[in-house]
Amino acid sequence: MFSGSFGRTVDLMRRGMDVAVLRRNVIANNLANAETPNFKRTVVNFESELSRALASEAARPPTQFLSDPRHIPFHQPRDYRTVRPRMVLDYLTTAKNNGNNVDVEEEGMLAQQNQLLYQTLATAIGAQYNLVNLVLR
Amino acid sequence: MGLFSSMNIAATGLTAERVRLDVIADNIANATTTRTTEGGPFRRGRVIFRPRVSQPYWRSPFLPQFLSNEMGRGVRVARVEKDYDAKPRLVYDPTHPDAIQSGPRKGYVEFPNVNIVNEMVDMISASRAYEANVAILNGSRSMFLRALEIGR
Amino acid sequence: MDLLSAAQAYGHRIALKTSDPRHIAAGKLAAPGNGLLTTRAAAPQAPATQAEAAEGSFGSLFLQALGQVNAQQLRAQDLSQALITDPESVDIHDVTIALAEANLSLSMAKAVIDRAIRAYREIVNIR
Repeated sequence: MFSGSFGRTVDLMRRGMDVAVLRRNVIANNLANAETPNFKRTVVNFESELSRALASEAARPPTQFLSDPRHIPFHQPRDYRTVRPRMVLDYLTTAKNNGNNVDVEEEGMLAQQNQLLYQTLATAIGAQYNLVNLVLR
Repeated sequence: MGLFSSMNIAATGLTAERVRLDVIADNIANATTTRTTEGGPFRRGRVIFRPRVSQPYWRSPFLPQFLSNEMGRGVRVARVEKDYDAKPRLVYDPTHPDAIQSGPRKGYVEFPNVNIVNEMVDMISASRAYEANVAILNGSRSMFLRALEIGR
Repeated sequence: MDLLSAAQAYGHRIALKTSDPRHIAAGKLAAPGNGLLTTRAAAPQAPATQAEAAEGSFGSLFLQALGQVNAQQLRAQDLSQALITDPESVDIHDVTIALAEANLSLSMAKAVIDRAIRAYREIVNIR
């Protein structure tokens, strides 16, 4: 029932919220281990890959002629639903003398941004549903 | 997974930093204790932190120790150990009741090798990490409450 | 980094040719409710849709939509139950979004049914 652009917007925002929760857990782990020697921080990569997948759907190459429908086309748009977040260990840098590379201020700033993003997405999803409620009631 | 696990992780950070602060307070309070129950001057304490991993599974022994890509679960205090590496300070005072009576160091008193400046710096970084973990807890709580208002 | 997950590899996916629908094709694992585990799962729905005149008739579309509304309600119930039995496994925003969607789809179904009944009554009462 919710296919089309409404369902797609809500689905994208819901995925953003899922990744925001994962990122919050990763940042909490980084901050809890801010004094552990030889600990390397982890980052979560998701948004860049998602935007590439969405751009691949929007890009329309010049039409090619397939002589047989079973031939593999040149351009295969990537479905954004297959994009999953990846946790990457940042093991090349060192910020402190005991081998730790967690910067407390930077992690705190990332946590704040993440929290604001999550709250914005929550409000936006609620607003989307309320828009439809306006028509129904 | 949910927001509860970020709260758990922040809670482990709070516990660990509190233990560290306790050890630092102990060090500062005993900075001039020349005799303890186990003999000798007071030795400063040190906490060893280790990250908590969720499940130990087989990992190649050629990888460095912390090069794993699974989700961590916070920090734990592995042990609180006495720092026997630093040699105690020697102060010449023959009238002190704890002065060494015989030997090449006769008349010297062993004072603990606690550097107050180091302890203060450690205390500052411990309290800063504590505040960061508290900020994570509060933020997770407000995220949760905001998500509850979606359907309203 | 889960190297073995199927979602990591993207590119050209070529469907396997299976001689029997119960054979496991790429990406179609047998799960309950999939229709691949038992052969009698599809039987109860067959007479209902075949009783309609055509595939795209209003009745069959309507029943399909109601089935989706029902699935939405069940999903909301499952998530709420999981919130109680295992709070660590489910995200709170999933629960509230599912509840809001169930609410919304039920309201829409109710509005559609009301209009349909009103239209039917108007047509029946034409003198």
